[in-house]
Amino acid sequence: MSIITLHGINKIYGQGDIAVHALKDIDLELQQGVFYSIIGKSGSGKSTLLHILGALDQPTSGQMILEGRNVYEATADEQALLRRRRIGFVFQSYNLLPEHSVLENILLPSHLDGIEPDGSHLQEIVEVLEIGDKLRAFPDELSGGQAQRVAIARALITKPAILLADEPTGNLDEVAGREVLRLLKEFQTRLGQTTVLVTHDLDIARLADVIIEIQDGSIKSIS
Amino acid sequence: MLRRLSISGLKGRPRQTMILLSTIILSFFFVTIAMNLLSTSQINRVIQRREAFGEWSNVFVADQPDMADQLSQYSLTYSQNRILGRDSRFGLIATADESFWDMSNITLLEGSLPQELDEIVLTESQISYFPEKPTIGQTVLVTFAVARSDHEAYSFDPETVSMIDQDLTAANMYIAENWDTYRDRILRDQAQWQANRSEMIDRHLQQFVGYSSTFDREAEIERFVDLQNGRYARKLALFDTTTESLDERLSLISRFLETEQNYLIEEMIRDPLFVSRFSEGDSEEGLRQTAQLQLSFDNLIDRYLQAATARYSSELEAHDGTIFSTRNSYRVARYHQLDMMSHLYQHLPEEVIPGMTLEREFPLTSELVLHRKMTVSGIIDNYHQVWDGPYTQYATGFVSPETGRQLFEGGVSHSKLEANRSYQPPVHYFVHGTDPTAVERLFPNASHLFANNLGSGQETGLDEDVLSLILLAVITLVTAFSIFQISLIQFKKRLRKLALLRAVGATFKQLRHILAWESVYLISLGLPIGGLLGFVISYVLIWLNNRLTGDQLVMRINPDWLLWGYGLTLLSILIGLFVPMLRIGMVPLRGNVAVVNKSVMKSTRELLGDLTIHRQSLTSINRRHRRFTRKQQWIQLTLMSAIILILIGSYLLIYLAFGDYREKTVHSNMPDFELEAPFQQGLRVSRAFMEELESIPGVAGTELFVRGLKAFMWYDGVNQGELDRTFRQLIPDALHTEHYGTVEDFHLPEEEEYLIEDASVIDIYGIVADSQLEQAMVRMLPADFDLQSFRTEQQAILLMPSYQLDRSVGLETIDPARLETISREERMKQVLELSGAGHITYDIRRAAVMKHDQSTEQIDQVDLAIPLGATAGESKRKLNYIRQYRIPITSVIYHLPEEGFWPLSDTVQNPILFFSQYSMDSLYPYRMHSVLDFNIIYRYLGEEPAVRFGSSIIQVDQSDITEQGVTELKRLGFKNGYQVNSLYLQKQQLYTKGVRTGLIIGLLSATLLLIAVQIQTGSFRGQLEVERERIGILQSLGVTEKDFRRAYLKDALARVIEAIILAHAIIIIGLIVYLVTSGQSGDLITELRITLSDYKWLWHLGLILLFGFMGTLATYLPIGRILRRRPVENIRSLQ
Ligand SMILES: Nc1ncnc2c1ncn2[C@@H]1O[C@H](COP(=O)(O)OP(=O)(O)OP(=O)(O)O)[C@@H](O)[C@H]1O
Ligand SMILES: [Mg+2]
Repeated sequence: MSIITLHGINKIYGQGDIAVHALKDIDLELQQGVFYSIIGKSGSGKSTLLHILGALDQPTSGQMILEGRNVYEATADEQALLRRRRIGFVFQSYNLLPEHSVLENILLPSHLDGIEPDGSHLQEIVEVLEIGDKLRAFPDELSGGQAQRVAIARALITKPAILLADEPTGNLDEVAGREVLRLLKEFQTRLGQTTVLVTHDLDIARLADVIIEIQDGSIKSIS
Repeated sequence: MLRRLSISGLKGRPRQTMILLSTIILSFFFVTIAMNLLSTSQINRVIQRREAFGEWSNVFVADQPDMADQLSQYSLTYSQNRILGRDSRFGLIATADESFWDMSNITLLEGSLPQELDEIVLTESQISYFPEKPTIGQTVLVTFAVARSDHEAYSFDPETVSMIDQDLTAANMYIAENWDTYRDRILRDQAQWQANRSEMIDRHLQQFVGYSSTFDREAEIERFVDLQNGRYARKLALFDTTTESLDERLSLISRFLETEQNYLIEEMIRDPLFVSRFSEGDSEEGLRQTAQLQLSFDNLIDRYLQAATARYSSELEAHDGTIFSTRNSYRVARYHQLDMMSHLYQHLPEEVIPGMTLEREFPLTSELVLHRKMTVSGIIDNYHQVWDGPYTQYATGFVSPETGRQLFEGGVSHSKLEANRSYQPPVHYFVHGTDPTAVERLFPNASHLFANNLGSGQETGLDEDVLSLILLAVITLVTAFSIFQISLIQFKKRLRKLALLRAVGATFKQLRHILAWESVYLISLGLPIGGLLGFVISYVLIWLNNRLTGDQLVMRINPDWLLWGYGLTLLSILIGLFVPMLRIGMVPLRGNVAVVNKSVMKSTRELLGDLTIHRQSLTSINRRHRRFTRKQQWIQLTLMSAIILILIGSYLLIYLAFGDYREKTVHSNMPDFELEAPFQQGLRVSRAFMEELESIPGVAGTELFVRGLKAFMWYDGVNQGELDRTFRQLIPDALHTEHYGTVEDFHLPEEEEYLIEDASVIDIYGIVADSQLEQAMVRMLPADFDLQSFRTEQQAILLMPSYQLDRSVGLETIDPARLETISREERMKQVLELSGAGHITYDIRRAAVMKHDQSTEQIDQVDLAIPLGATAGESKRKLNYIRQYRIPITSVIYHLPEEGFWPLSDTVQNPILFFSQYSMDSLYPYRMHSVLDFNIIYRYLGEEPAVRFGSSIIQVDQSDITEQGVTELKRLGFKNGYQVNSLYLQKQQLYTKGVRTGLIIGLLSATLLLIAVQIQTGSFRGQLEVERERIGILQSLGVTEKDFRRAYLKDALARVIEAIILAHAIIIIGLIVYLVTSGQSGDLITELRITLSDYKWLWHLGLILLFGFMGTLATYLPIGRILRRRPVENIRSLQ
């Protein structure tokens, strides 16, 4: 069952001579519960595609259907609610709120939704991500890997249907990178999510169910 | 190369360059305005003073030749104007020297000032006296009369008195020598009187024709017959004593004349004609005193001279083009008129007795009339509005000093008459300066000294010069600061580029050069643009000022000040630009200086500790964020508060700048003109005159009241009062007798001396029925106040000052030198304030905080002693009588009505007794002099007599003050014998001062506002960048725009409200400091209420709302722009 469908997505930055055609006529269908990885050279349009999938950006043209809803024709507030409830996004640079403790950061999405998170779910996340002893720490007291795991935890807390992660392993050493990947994989199977991971590390990409290769803004292959 | 680099650098950062440039332009702009306004107001103030008052501080009218020596001895600039005489067309002609024209700034309308011999200029007002308008170059015959000697032949002229004395001595001698014959003559005349009785009675009754119907004819006949018979009987009794000694006879005669005086007084007070001049309330004692004055030797002399006929003699001479005639006038008394001195002399023989002549000449005036052909060289503007000297000495024609010399030294001094040869025309000395008391202090004994009081500076709370200098200081400081800030920010942004240059081998020196070139470009662009704009706007501001105030300010540029201002600004710009450059040494090669210094930030845990987790919301997240950015929050709050503070503060300051205007003119009810007649004008006469005044276009209203002179008030316990005791202790001895008077000045039985000695000095005012003042008084008084009996009976309202005394101050006599320049009206108030002992006031607004002597509440009657010193002989001679009254007090008040009453509201003189105008009439006797018998004049005119002593004051308000209106008002005033006091000039001065101070405050606040807004938006924009990142993250976590908007709107509102509260707190503190330092009395709340009583709160509220609206928008709108962006656009770390 497809959860997201992209139709003819184009993204053009700037205008005229300096216009950059970052995404060209992307048609893509993502199935529920599948682990995808997106690979491609630097500047090929991976992050742009992921932002479009996460309803964080506005495509120049094209449609995205998420769970039957046309995302980019919805209002800004409806998009915000989708991000809050259906999508989890893990940024490469974590983007944790520095003034809030780890636990607060993790709980933020569900608090914003006005609900107390499922306790056992929280416990599970914390245990699996091994951040139990850091819950009262603040972001500036964490290592890169720990921060990345907190960012993942925050993305997972609302049990989103889709988890999007932009090079979550980029700042980590190989061991830590693999560890994070393993966790993503574990939650994907546990929660039955659709997970999309951007990476340029082919070894990591291979762990995914489906590898989407992007070149110059177009999908070169899906395997 | 470096130059090109700097230009390309400037062009490469258009936004920053524009900000920097605009700041530089702004600072030159404001400095230009500040300096231009300062010099304009300074120079114009001098000009205005000249225009309004002339630059002479004092006018002497003196003929002392040594005055000039003394003046130059003190190295004072002065002009000497000889007063030549009065021509029927040119008016009063005077010589004018160069320094007069320099000082007086009289505008030449046509032609030229008189320089050559026989050139004459006239004021425009004189043109109407010519049959045709005189043309420049026209030769006219000028004929002017010089009142060479004014021999007023009155009782105080010793020459006159000695002549009459001679005649009386001769008459007495004749009677003594012809003792028995004279007795026979009396007997003969008595028989004749008996024979012609009915004829004499008829003639006597003639006087009563047209007289009051209540007159009892029969009684009058009886009185008259008794009077005549009594006189004969007494006269004949004189000769009953038979003695052969001449000396004895003479002494018998003088004793007779002495005792006869008392009989005559008794006769007089029974004379219905005499009594009719008095009000019913006058006591018999008062009548007797007046009769005594009328029958005094001095008064008899005056009547004798009045009865004499006038005669003239004339002589014509010519010298060197000047023709002059000498005209003498005399009073000629004939021998037979001597009986006016006493009825004893009625029986002198027809033929002239030895020692006397048939006619006796009493010289009156000696007039010199000069005729000379002169050429009209020019017409000058009227300067009556600049004239602060005696009106009768206001010259309307001017000739050169040389012409003056030709007329007198060249002409009159060759006369064959000694009196002409020795005549020197009087000289006016105009003394340059702006301190009207200066000359007075130098020449304390100078007579005819007229200080140019209106020309003196007015003191106000805020001084414009100081404000302008503050403006300059603020501009330079703010310029330096903001340029420093801007260039520092730029500098940080440019570090990378500079580092790059360093990396490719540029030395620090070269980098500095690049920056220096940039400054040169910026300044060479900013100075001319800002300067030019400044000139344009200062011109506009001055124009605006003229429109608002009716000023005639002309823009003046003072290059020195401008240079100073530019120098200072340049310096501050350079400091602002170059100080950040000192940091150029820090430029690292990498060029990546962290914008936020992490080590400065406290670790989060330190700040928050182990906190428990609450349900989080956008509000709580934002709150948390604000805790971490307290410094920025404070900066924002401070800046916002500064903006609202400037808005409200400047409005308040502008309001305060008009404080003097409000206090001195509005609340004291200052009229535009005060017309004062030095005698008490009859009501009907005044009404007619007031109506005439009201018909002048622009006159909005007139108000009349009457003022008596200083008097003495005594009541039981008058000296027990706290205020009186304090004042007596403080006032220096020298002023003590002057203020309170001494018993030596008065004829008083010893047992009544306390009525002067212990009394309180008061002023007396008469309130006209139905006047605004009466209405205001009635409104203030208790409801049971009986207005009707106040109007008709001799009773008074007593106004006592309310006061506040500082007990802790030791009461020491105040140094007289400190009181030198203080007028009597101000004295009581100033003595208390200068000593620090306390304050007094009549201001009802201070009633709550002032106290009053409780014992005075009980006063229900007072003993009033009115000196009559000046009544009989004008001010020339004191007769030293007093009149005493016991006056019932209907109310004691401690404040004036709220409407104010000029001039009392402004000054607080002594206690005041208010009478109705009618009952005040009865306080003073008639004017005794028959010299100008108003009684007779007004009886002919069918008007009430203007004879009571005191002064009539008509206050005039003009809604629209025009030159013509003022001229007409003055003309009418002078014509009717009123002294015209142009208070509107003072009002205008105060108002103009307010406007000018207001404009400067406005300008200052506009500067500050602009800069504050610039800094505020700059720093806010910096904060927004940080905020934008947070918003992006929260957006990605699914915070809706609606939530964002609600939270930020609440935020913006809260900040605005905080700023408003903070600003008000600061203003309240500022006001309190202002009130405390300006030495206001009373408690702060009352003072605050008074100070702000006219404050327009609606405007204040409007400003707050405006600020609230704009402030909210300014903080909220940029957020809205961010919110409309996609999350990825806001999270910059993604890009
Ligand atoms: N905000 C932007 N403005 C202009 N061009 C942009 C912007 N963001 C991305 N681009 C351009 O779009 C193209 C795709 O960028 P994108 O960030 O998606 O690449 P990427 O595949 O994620 O690269 P990397 O592996 O380096 O992260 C690039 O050519 C980039 O220069
Ligand atoms: Mg990328």
